[in-house]
Amino acid sequence: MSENKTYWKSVDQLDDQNEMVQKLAHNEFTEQLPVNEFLSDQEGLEDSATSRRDFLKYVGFSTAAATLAACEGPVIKSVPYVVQPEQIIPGIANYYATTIADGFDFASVLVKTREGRPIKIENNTDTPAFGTANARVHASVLSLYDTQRLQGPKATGEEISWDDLKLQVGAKLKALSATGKPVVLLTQTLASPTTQQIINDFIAAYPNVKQVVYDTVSCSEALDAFANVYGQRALASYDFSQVETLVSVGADILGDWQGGGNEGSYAQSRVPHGKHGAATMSHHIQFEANMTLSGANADVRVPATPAVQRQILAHIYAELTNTPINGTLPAEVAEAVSKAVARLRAAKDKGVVVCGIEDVGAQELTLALNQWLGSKAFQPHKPLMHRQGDSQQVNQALEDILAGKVGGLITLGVNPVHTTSQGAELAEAIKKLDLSVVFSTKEDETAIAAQYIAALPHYLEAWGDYQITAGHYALAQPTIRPLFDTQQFQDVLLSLSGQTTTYYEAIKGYWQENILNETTWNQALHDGFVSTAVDNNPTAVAIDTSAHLSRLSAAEQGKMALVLYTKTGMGDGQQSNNPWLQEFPDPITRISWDNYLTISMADAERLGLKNVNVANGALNGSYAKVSNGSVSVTVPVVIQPGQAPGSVGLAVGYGPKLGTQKEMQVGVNAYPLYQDFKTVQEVEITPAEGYHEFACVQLHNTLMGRGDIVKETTLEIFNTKDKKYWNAVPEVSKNHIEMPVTSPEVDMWQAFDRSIGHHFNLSIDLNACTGCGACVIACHAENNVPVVGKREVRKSRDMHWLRIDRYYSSKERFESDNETKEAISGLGDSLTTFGKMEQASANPQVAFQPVMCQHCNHAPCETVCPVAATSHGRQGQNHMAYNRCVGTRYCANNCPYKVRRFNWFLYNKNDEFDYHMNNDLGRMVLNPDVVVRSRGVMEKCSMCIQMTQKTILDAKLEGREIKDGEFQTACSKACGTGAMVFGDINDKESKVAALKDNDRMYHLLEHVGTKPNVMYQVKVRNTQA
Amino acid sequence: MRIHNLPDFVYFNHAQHVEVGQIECQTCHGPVEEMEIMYQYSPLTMGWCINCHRETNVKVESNEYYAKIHEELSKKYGVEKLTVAQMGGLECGKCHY
Repeated sequence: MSENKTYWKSVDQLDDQNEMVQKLAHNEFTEQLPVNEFLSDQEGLEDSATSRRDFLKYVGFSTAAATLAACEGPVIKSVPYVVQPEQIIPGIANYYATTIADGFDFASVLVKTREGRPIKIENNTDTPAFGTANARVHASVLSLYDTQRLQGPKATGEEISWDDLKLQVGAKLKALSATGKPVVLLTQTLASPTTQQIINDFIAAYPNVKQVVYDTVSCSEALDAFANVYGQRALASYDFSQVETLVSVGADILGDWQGGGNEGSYAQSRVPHGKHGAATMSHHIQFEANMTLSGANADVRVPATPAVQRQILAHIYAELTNTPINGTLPAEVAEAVSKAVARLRAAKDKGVVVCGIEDVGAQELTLALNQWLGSKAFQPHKPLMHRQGDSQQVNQALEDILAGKVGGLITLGVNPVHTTSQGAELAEAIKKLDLSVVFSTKEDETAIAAQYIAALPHYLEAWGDYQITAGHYALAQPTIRPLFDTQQFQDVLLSLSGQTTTYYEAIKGYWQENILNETTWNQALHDGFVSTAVDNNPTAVAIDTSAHLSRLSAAEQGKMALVLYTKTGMGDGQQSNNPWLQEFPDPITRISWDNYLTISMADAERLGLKNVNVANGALNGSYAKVSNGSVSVTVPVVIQPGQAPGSVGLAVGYGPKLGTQKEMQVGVNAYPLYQDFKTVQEVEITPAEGYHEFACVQLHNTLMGRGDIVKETTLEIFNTKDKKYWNAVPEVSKNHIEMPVTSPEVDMWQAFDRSIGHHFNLSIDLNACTGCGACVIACHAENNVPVVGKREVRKSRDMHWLRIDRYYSSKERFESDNETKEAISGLGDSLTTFGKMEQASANPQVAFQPVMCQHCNHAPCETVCPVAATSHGRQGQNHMAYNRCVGTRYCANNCPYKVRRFNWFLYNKNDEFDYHMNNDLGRMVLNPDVVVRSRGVMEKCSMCIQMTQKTILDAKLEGREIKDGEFQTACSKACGTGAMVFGDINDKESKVAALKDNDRMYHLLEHVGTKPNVMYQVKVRNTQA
Repeated sequence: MRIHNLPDFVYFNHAQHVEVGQIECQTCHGPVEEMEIMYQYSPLTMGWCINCHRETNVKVESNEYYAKIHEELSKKYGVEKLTVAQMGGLECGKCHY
């Protein structure tokens, strides 16, 4: 834009001293727009439509204001580097390998930094274990720029220097040590060899200190069972890539079960492979109470309450090993269990059983089952260390603190006052201790009760080393200088133990001595991990199953079982102040900004609990009171298809919390119900007054028999029938002759010639997609997608460029829905039948479908744009020039996929939307390569054109051709299951070109004739008996 | 004080023009070696960008990346040398994203 000319509006502007002129120069509009006043009048807005006269007034005024404002030319001051830092070239991203280990999520990741700022987390694809980041890990980069983080150490609420803190804490520790009063060191799971050594040295210096590991969401029983059988307190690892039959009893293997991280290997066995006619894929049977991601992806899902799950596990074991057992299974699950047993028997070592029941006996039984099968997927020789909490020890420690038997408490990364059921009493007890030090990134509930708060850095500012599994070590390195006056726990501990080394030196020393053999330290740091083959063959102690069998088979169902769970977006709630995660819609319920009680249709009807859609479609749910002994919480209810009757689900990690911005304090805190670290609780549900307003992004849940949206078939049909039968190209009629919609005969568009240069396509395999949502957050980070808040999401004004639609079947199967729809005859029948089909089945099939801009070659949006703001590129991308857009929204109305998003407001630097884009710290996460959109323009997925352009430029600079796999989008790069494949179809050797010719390939709404550049692969279910 | 400032909604990359396109600094920035006080030489408007893209040939020589695409495109347009515009350099999304 030319800035040579200056237009003067009046002579007053030449007067530098004129305050009025100076002030106006900074305002976008010469007068204050009454927007705040206008918007805050919520009732008035909803009651009355703006009159035509008002509208004209606003238009006239804003046009005049905009015209006046447009004449200003800003003066931009810039500060260049005085000394150019090495390795930082403005405009070029640097990548660092590091590891997240926050006690809940463990993953080796790559961190993209621009001009020294970490802006995005990516998968470390080189690492053999834990290299895929889930949605929370992708979002963790925003938590680095959290305004609520502690900015320095504190003592009794006042700021203190680190030296003083160490002096005072050291003195108190010595005093306690002299009296021999015990000090509890309560830590999260660290899985860090060097940290453990530092803690051991610390304990050697202060023998009265006792370390207790506390997992906020515990895995204690599985750890105990593994310890009893294999002699090491760890978790068995599973590799599902070669599985034929997978039976899960209450284990959400695609969620956070035993630390998660299984979706990659799971998806490998879920994609049909082998020759057509003899293609195979795994069969997945899931018995569960809540509808989880695993249940949604399973071939057979059987709703079962926690008590029935215990019986099921016992019966599977008994039937498989021909052991006599008392009692019979309920009729509705008995058949599914015997089928599962037959499948397992046939699969032998290619079968596997996983179990999420929190009972040492049940976990031992699962180990015995996999031993009996000789399961190859079950890998006790690769024990996982990423959960180490011991509930009994934690209970003992908390009891001692409450009883006043303890002199001091040091916590690291945990918040027991918030996350245990005795929070309030615990806070009082902590206040009475001689010494209490809380190592935390937030001034949370435990921190304010303590004398000293030691401010921790974020993991992207810190050093660390981790052993996640046998023979696999990971390193964490700082990717930015600490933003605040923070110190690592290890450094403080080292200095309290009287050592002069730093944590960094300690790690380096430990690694050089114990871990690095041929690898150099720099190489290990560059890769982020060191992996060595270990010859680990643990001997198993014989398991006495008879007692477990009789106890589990006698399990009885109480009044109502509450199953507490962790959400894909929120986990244990550590990152509850992260707006990306709050606005991330739950993959199953598609509700953002809330937690809720999931309940079955049958129970909801019995109790009189309702879900209703109000006039604009938004979802409301009645409240229910959940009582567990003396504790009770009032939560909104969501009627969940597939929820086992007799059970309800509730997610932890939400609710009012200190160190969290007001807007982010949504939902209810379910931790008080998490008694004795058991996720299954017996509760009483009673209806409560009123309705809760949800922010749900998907208001229509069923496919209504439109099987061409999510095309699916069974493995049997896939193998035995022709492609035309299960993946026919839709036909249209021309001169009364039916012809395929892909035929040039029925094409009235002048097509671009795309045969030369690059032509980008994105393939999405519906078999491999588990609905995990990592792509959604990666898209946010890459493309500066704004957060709009609960109120706007409720109005369907969410800005997600990439959404993952979730559909339920109305009957037991989607197939029956299609048949029902086809059988409709006449208007009356269609009205009643379609009405019924809006209701999801009590135990539906579930399908996930990621939908973003389909980049149509014949794009309906382009033809209706009056200003040509959206136009087509030769490389297959549908371009959107924001600065050209005038916001008519014709394009969004004409888009059959509904992927365009409109900026109803200014979402950055606007106090009405007080999320990360409204503060200097939060804005550091923005990707400088992508524009931050302004009010009044349309935006949508660009197929990450900034990334494809960068790849092309790199190739040009190096003077070479581009190899397959180099072209990526944020979503395809984040996909841990290989469901999303991006590339150039003009490169005939590329993976995506092969996928384009795959039999399973289809386009969304192909009959419309838009010829999209995004394609889907038909979902194949292994459902035959 | 910043002299050359493109608006945020346009992406400009020096490497593309200087390294790949082998354009001299002076082509856009004027006789900087003679400027006592730095000033903006070119208007930096979209029209100015587009004109240059229409008139300038792409430096394809000894760059493997262009080998295939140049051969095919020059056949299609029946020209010896391709302009940036013919390579797709006028598409909105190449600069606005």
